[in-house]
Amino acid sequence: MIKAGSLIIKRIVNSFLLLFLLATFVFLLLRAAPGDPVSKYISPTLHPQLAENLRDSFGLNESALSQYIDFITETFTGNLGISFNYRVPVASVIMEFLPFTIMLALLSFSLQMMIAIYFSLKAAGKKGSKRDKFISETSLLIYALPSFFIGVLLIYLFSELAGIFPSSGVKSFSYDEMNILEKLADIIKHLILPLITLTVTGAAVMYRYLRTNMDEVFNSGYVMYLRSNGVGEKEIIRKHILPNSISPLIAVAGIELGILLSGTLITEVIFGLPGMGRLTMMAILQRDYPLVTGCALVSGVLIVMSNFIADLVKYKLDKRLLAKGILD
Amino acid sequence: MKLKIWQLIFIFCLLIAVLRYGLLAKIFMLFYYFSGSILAGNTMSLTSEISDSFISAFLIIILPSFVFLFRNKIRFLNYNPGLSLSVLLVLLLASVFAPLTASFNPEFQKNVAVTKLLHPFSVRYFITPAGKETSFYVSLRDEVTGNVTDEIQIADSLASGGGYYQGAEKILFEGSPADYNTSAVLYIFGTDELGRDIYSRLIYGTRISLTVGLTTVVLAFFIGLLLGFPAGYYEGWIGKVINRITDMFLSFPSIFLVILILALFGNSVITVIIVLGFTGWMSLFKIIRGEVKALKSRDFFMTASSLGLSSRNLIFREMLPVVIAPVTSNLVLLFAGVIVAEASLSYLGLGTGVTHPSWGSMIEQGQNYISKAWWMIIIPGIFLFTTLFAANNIGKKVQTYFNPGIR
Repeated sequence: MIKAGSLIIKRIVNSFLLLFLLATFVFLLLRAAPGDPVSKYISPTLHPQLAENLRDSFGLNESALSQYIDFITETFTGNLGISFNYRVPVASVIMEFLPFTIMLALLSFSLQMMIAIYFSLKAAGKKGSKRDKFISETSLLIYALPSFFIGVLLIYLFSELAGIFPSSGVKSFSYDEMNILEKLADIIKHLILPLITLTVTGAAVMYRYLRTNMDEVFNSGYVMYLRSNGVGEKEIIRKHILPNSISPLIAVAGIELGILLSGTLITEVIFGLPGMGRLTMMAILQRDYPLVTGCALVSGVLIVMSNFIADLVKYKLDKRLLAKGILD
Repeated sequence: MKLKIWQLIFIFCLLIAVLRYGLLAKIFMLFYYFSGSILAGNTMSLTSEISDSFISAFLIIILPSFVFLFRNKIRFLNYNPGLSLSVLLVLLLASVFAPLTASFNPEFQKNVAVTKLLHPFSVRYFITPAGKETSFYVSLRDEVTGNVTDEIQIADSLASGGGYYQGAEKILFEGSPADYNTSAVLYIFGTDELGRDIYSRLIYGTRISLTVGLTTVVLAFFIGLLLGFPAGYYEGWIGKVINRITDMFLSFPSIFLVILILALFGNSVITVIIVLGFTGWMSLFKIIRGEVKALKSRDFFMTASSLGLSSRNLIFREMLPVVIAPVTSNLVLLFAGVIVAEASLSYLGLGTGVTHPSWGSMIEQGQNYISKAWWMIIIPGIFLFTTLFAANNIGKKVQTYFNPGIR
């Protein structure tokens, strides 16, 4: 008899191993890259001793191996170092950007799930009808739109032509003079376009997954049995088809949530939002080594965690999956 | 009317040859001069632009005759492609014959004040002095590569009494109007902020997108195969280690990996292809590994391996034909994914868009002129969308072809 508990512990150990490999990989990449992070802060016309001092303070003068050992021990004791660029601990920089991303990701994620489930119920209710075909075709169309194009298109339509929503940022210039209700309205106004951009593609992907699974379940024996016993079509779909077709969706949802949580780079760049994606990209472009590794680790943790949660939910729904090695 | 693939290629090439016969004749003339001078011992510089024109000029003769002659021999040419494949084929042909299909050199810019941010279907007048003092070869070369920047003037409209307008400024011809050639030029998709023709840039951008897409898919497939085969075949520690490393790649959002590598090591077409190839193989790996694992217990494979076939023969003769079927649809979908990735990278300024015209970078530039020039974002976007939609459709079709059960 396999115990879920021991498997969970094994899984957590595996996750740590994975994060360790990830950290090593990022460390190697950063050290192998050409270019000197110090040259960004010290002009070459200044005395070379200044650059040398700075390099010392960054810890770049030690041997690669001792840097690596330092880095690994510090990282896994929870110390991510000090950002070269912000001059504050990496953890506090990340803590400034992470809440926004988590909020956006969770909002978009729940919207995606709701839209996907709602429309697949609508479409599957009348299989082969005009509505079904319309929804499926629309999902295919949206699926083929790259998210940055959706974003730019939305800015063009709603900011330039209609002038309803602002095109970038999270706050207006006059934010500080507003009362609490206006502040809330202002933030919501700024978030609508990014949310649509983030949500539609993901919703289309999830809809396609759910729909394919539902079609498979539709043709199975027990559905036929229920139908021949005179159970209503709506009840079959809600009580039997949906629960049975949702477990592959959860795996996809786990991956999607992980990607959303680790920052939705393109959307953040288009709309100029202060999220993890843009922070990571800026850190990479500015060669802020500690911040890059910190961001990579945080994304890694979030992705591993959301996959893990997805597997747990799947296990909760169907305990037989344990035997198939879902928690390995 | 249902076109077959060979008919599509034939008609396309014929159409281009008829529409651009003037340019085609000039390219052949240039080739004649070129080969003559090479035989005479003079070394002339063969730039990539000139050789590009030569290749497409010869190919536009060779390709239709080839498909016409071999239409009954090659089965692929007799398929009815359907709308999606037709779209992709036309894009592919247009990008292969880019020097002939594009109306300008993609980097051509002159009189920016007159040509910048033009609406689609704008017309401008090109004015060239008729009697040029340059050699025949040089003028021919400039016309073929589209780099005529010296003598040409671009005018808003022609003025009565010999002359032209550039903005409000009226410029009169020196000498008699007969010394000047004027020709109306249509900017079918308008121009960008530097007065470059968007249609031509799109054609050259298609070239980059399709090249990156195709080569990346091939690269990713080979990496997936090279790692997936041992991972599925040897289930000991080798398989486990490879699998664990794949999990690591999967646990990192690949766009950051791509940006990390491109930002640190520089971006060109080659690095973009390599980086996208090395980050796109994971799903292929998982499928191939699963297939190989299942394959190992199949009779024909067990027979082949116990006969003592070399591992190369095992991979290419016994395994590949079986594995490729379930992978094909993934390859097509990966192709679409890579094109999106390349466009997104170019949008972020990290793709091929720095040195070449690329769909993503065109949209990114257009965003700065969003209030003035909608065509700078909408038209590349439509191209991108059409390509992706067609590729996704083909992927879906391939999937249904191999697994008819799933709709």
